[in-house]
Amino acid sequence: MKQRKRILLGLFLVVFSIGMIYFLNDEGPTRILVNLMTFAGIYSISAIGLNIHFGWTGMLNFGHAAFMGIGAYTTILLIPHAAGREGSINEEGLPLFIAIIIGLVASALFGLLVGLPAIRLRGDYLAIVTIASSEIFRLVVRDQENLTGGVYGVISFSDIFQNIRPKFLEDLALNLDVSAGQLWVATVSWLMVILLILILKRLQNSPWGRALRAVREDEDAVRALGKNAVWLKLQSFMLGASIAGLSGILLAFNYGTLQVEYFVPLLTFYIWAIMILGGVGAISGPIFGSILFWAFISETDQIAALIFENADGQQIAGVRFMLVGLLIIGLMILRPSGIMGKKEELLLDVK
Amino acid sequence: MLDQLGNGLLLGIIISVASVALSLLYGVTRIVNFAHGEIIALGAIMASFFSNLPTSRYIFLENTSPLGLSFEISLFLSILICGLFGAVLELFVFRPLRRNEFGNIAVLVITIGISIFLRHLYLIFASSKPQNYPLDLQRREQYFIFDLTPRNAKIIVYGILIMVLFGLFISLTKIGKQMRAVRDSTELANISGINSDRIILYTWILSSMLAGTAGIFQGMINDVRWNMGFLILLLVFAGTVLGGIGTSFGAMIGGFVIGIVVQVSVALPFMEGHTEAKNAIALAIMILILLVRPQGIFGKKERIS
Amino acid sequence: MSNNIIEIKNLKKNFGGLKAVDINNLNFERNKIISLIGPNGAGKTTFFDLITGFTKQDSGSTFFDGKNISNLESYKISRLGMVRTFQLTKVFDRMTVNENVLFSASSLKNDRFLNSLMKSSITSNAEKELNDKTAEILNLVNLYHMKDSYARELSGGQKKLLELARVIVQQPKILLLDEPLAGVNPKLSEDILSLIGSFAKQGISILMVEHNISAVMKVSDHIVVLAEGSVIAEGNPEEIRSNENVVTAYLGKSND
Repeated sequence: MKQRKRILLGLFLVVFSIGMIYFLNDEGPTRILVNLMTFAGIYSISAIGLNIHFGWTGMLNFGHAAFMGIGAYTTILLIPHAAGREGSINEEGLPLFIAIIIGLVASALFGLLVGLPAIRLRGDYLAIVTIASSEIFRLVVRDQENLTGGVYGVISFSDIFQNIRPKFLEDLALNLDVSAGQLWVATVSWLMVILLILILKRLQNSPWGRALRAVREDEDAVRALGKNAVWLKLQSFMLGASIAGLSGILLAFNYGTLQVEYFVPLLTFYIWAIMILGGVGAISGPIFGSILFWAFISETDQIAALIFENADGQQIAGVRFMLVGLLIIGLMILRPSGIMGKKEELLLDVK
Repeated sequence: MLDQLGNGLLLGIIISVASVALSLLYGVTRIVNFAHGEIIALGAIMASFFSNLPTSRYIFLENTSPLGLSFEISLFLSILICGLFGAVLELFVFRPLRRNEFGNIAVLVITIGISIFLRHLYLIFASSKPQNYPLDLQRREQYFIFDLTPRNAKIIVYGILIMVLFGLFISLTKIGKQMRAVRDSTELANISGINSDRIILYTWILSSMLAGTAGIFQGMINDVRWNMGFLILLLVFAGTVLGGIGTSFGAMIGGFVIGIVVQVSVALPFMEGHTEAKNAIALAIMILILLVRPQGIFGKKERIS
Repeated sequence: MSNNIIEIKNLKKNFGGLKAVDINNLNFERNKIISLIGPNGAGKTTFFDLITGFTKQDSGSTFFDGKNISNLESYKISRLGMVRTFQLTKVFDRMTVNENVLFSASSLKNDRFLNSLMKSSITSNAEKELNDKTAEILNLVNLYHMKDSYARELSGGQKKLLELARVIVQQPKILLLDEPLAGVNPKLSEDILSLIGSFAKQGISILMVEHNISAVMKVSDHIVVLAEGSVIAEGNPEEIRSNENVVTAYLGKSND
């Protein structure tokens, strides 16, 4: 399939699924749409990071949630916040921008920390080590209640972010009858997506991007040609991790609270589903993948409500996750190149 | 510390049985099965469905009640169902994938999809509330140096028995030998007249039955939950990797060590008040082992990088 | 500067107690085409892996161009100018033929992340130069017409050519070729052999492992025979042809 055809297919699916949102929801479809697009923006940032790990470099990273979490916790704990059971407020804090930079660096460093032992391992071992690292991260955050608020989480940190919200968004939010706070998160997220896409477009066919793809194809050949495959992989690990960190920070601002349970392995699997749906290795894949994924999730909730007349929240969530599982299986079997992926560069069919 | 040693032995047995199953499957089919945890949970949930009283009604939506069978029969039926389920997975999912030459990564991702699907299927049908088997409460007694209830002591004995039987099966019977042959080289096995498809089917059945057994043990010691399999899966991976993935004996020992480490670490001075993080210790050990001895403690030196 | 490009002393490697390579003393002269032959399992590929740093040696020392490279990491050895190919061709399947060579031709400085981020790669001079160089090399190996195809679409012989292009673009001091003719049709074999000859004329030393004895006899200046991990004979093709050890150990069996 030609590039243009793939884009048309992607656009058609996006328009269709957004149309479905309006069709299925009589009340406040715009509010649902803004909510959906916020998550889609945030998750596509994360999927862009994962795409660098897996799509470009071929590394099976199943600990992506932790990279998101490290970024979120580092940044949020550095700005004014309230953590823990008592929720004692910490008024002191760094300026937001500096805290975000430190958060991104922290994610990159965690990527390096996980990468160093894992990088020499074969694919499936790397998968196990990364998912284990992400669980270690989650368990430690849960455990260190004094610092991270443990299971009680962190609250009251959004002001510093919402205070810089431009005025015109408030009028827009009022007009659309949606939350101005969320509209701001959505705006920032999508601006970030655009920025990242521009950067990645430049990187993909650059010598560095080419070197990453060569590592993905055959590490031995890379080494035989005098290039340091381990360092390239570590760089990829750090870049992808810090992009994930950015997504984690935005996720925290979107929820307005920071809970350790956001960063369960299921989050990683979501990002994987988005990456595969969009097309592994394709730069614009995460955008399409993410919007469609969230539209799919939103619509399955309606379907679940239809199937189970007296459904409670648990059951609706259950149906949604089951369908996510089916989506992953179905994509892998029927269309492993996703929407935007090139068949010729399909990563999942060999070896 | 000694209190914890008994608990450690119990958890060790469970992880050990589950690790042996995972390792066997990996050895023969090269599948890293993320859905292994859900097969573990299937055993536990089925046993709960068969054995709980119809009046208890806390499982399986409003219109399906538990059957109230005797626990021994429930146990037997559940393990059988797990085996059957393994066969279904092989026949309807993994054999077709093999025929179409799906790569290892693709299959791994598919097992993740299956895991997510099944886990939430359990959530819907087996409810989110933890459940228990209809077994009497028992008082702890002293066995040798361990403090255990008689039932838990029995679990340890049965667990060891199962693994001895498994060891004998894999090393003495014809099917066991053929499994090892396929594990070493599918092509060679095919050339020497072994029907590798059939052996892989048997492997799925055996692996799933062992996993189900581990799940029932886990359900007896703690409780039955929809997500219990996923909670224990990483520890099972740790046990498998520690012993050397693909070696049954290694997985057996590795699983034991992980179980004991997890429970005994609670008694360590620096872990005081941090019992929730005990699994992190086991996972960290796994990563360390991979760092210094990537093939695991008992694994043969094979290229893993 | 010594006349030897590679000097090996007491190189030993065991695999699980089995002797794979055990070479007391072996030198390779500069600017020669040298072939390494021997029956299957003689340790030829292991020998390649050892001196290029892909397998850790048990003991011994290897000097390349006067520098001790024992225990040096493979990519560093390659940077010194000793570049190898593989018995089973290792092209980058899901990259284009052009990209395969571009990757190899690109300098380490050019590969840097910041460099890639700051410069727009399509318009930069460095990338243009790389493209010109790549085009030249692809023309040389007669693959230019395939430059935008994915490497996986090439035939086995074409993949061998691509591998040659990829190593020669680096202008190494010595080329280590692991069975450059394996699975290649006779016509293409001729082409590859003449390419190898032209590389040698440019002053690149060649060390190759090859099973095609007649080809080896034709192009080699010097032949080293390995059996069971040790050198059993070396000399020019004439000497090897008449060496009885070699005939009994190897040639007699393999020429049928």
